[in-house]
Amino acid sequence: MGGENATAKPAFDTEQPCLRCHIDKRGPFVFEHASVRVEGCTACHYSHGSTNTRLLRRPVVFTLCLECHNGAGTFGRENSGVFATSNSHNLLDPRYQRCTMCHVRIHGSNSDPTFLR
Amino acid sequence: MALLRNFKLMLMFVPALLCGQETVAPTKDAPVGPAGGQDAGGYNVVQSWEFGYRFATVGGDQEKYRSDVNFGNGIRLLGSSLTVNSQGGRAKWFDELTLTTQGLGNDPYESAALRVGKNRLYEYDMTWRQNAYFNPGLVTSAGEHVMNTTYRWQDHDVTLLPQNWFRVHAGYSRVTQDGPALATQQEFDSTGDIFPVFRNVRDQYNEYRLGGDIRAHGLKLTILRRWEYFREDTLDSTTSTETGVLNPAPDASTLTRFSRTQPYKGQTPTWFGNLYFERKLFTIDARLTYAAGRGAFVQNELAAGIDRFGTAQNRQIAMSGTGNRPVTAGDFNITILPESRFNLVTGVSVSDTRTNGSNIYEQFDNATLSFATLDFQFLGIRLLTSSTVARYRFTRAFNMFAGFRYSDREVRSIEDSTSPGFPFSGTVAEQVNLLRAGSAGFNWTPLRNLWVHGEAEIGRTNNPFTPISLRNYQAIRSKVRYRRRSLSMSAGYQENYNNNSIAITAYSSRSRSYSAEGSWAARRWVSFDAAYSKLHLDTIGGIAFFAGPASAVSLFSNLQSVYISNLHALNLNVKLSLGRRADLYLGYSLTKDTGDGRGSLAAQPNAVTQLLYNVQSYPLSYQTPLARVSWRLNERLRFNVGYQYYGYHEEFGLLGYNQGYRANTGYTSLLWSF
Repeated sequence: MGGENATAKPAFDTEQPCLRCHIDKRGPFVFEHASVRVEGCTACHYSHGSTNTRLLRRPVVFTLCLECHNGAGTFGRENSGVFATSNSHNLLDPRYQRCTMCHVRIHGSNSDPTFLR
Repeated sequence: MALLRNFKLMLMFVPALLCGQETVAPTKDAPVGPAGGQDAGGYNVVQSWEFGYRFATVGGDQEKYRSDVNFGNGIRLLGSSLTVNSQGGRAKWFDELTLTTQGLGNDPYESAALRVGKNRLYEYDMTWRQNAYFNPGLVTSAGEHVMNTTYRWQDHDVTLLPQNWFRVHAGYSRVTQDGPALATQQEFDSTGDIFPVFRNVRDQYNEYRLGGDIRAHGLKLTILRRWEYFREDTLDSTTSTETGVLNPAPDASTLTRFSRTQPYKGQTPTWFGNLYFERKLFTIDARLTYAAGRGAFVQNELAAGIDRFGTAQNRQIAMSGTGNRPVTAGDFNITILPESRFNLVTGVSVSDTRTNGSNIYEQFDNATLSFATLDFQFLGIRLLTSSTVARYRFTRAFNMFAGFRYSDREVRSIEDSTSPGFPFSGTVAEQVNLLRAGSAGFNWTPLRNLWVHGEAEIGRTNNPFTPISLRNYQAIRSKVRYRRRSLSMSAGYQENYNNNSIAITAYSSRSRSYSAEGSWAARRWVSFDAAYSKLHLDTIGGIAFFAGPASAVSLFSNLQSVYISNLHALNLNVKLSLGRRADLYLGYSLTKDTGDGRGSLAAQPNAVTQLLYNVQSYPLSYQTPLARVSWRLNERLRFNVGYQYYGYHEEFGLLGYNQGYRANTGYTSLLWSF
């Protein structure tokens, strides 16, 4: 299912209502996860209910991440693409199947551009 | 557009509805006490209080049960209701008081609501909720990201002169989350091991509101000032030596000491204004808001241990900085009503979000300053939209509407990092995304009790922000509803297709939702409710990643991420009155995802395709039958007993985890009106 089209939202939505309770995702952060700010929480979550853990749009997290981080050429803020995963990330290694084990601040970080802390 | 938003909302709500069958307690719809209440001191009082004992026995995955259901054993005030209304509406302090509670006394979901008001003078509303939040996060983090926290919400709203042309509003809200959690931390380099750390979660949000509105001569003006304060004082630490989480051997790295404090404080003062003006031939609705979000933070992190090469390490990170996010948004809509059959709504809206943050980052490795950086980032989102919708009523029974929407979104960023003493140079990027969408629909009432609705939307965007964003999409929504006396039936169909094809990858998503529901009060003593829905989802997205044996990791770029879900939901309810003394309620709820229909996990040609194949669908089932009986002992007292079963079953589990459980829960209670 496609994400809610942020360009179709009324301009009046100044804040994601989710952030009222999920205070730690609020920011503003030095390093914003751009898709969170541009497309909103529904880029990754079915915010009103899902059979997947943490209301994610996919049952496991790595497929969710890889659908954007696939090296596609015309997306992202720099028009040079959303970065593909590093060649150090062997997806057959269980730790790289759980992206947020290392990228713990995936919603935004004040210290690390790759959201490691 | 509105259709798309509603459609998406409905799709997202479906799973919530499936799992949202009412719990067995408290006892609902069981009257107790005098039907007209009691008169005392100039007031009429209606009240009931349900005290009882709740029990639960659980087999299987206890953590998943705690995440989904979480009912335990113990004495509860399962529910209560108190309504006090003044006789004549001229009491001294209040004319209306309503208090309801549910689950007080350690249920995982507790709530209370209070309303007090005096005619023409004031209204006060309070809601309070407390939820126990437990999340094992097995699939996303191998059980290393556990949350065992408590959320508390409270909202207070006062309206002075509620029936006057001039009203004053004031309010206060507070949200907190606190409790223990587990998290992970990667040390001591970018491919280093992952260590579990203890997390003491402390988040807090406070909001104050003050405003007023004026209503006169078809005009309504609302002004609201809001102050939001939020803070995060979460602490991370370890209490003993930790080894790596997922890769303990041959990697012998250890984390002997870790602590991190990272207090964050922010505030968002906001102005909000709304002007609504109504005349016979037109209405005007204009809104404007400005929110000046800002925050400040410091961080001190200390980690000591042995890295993956066997070298002793100690690392300290000191950081401070600020972030700002001013948001300005407004819209202006005119509805033109030239004659009774026709109206035209046209509007324009603008929003501008500018996020910028900076920090000073210093890292000390083995007591030596390794590097210091100054970071700056800016992310700006400017959105301009205009829309027009025309509606024409051909007959009393049939009307149609059609609309067009145009959006222009610009996303800009500036990113930079430098060392102290060196100037910023800045990498600037910009992207523009245009959306053109059209929609049309109708409402038809062919028979007095029959209503038919249909609408469709087609949209095209030229430069979606992410590979999964909407590009070429279409949405359909239709519904049929029939109502006659004690019978109501409805059926609906919705679909949403998106195709986002680009140079390297393509992304396609399709969802279709079918639903039907009926309600029939066959007799005074028996009624039936039934609902069924099916939600089909399928997506295919091109992905690229590195994988392979440790000695020969290579790039895979021609694979696809496939996800298929076929979610069936069934709800059945029967309410029976057994004579004058007993009421029986039977319910059954089933949520079943059949996935892509696979009966087993078929062997794939290699480990990479096997990994992707295993997570293409997530077949599971969740069912909760329940029964509740309420006996009327006398006019003021009822005895209640109920039972509810929860069964959760995953066909194959994911990534080595299967979280099935079975739970028997129930309660006994006395519902009392004294």
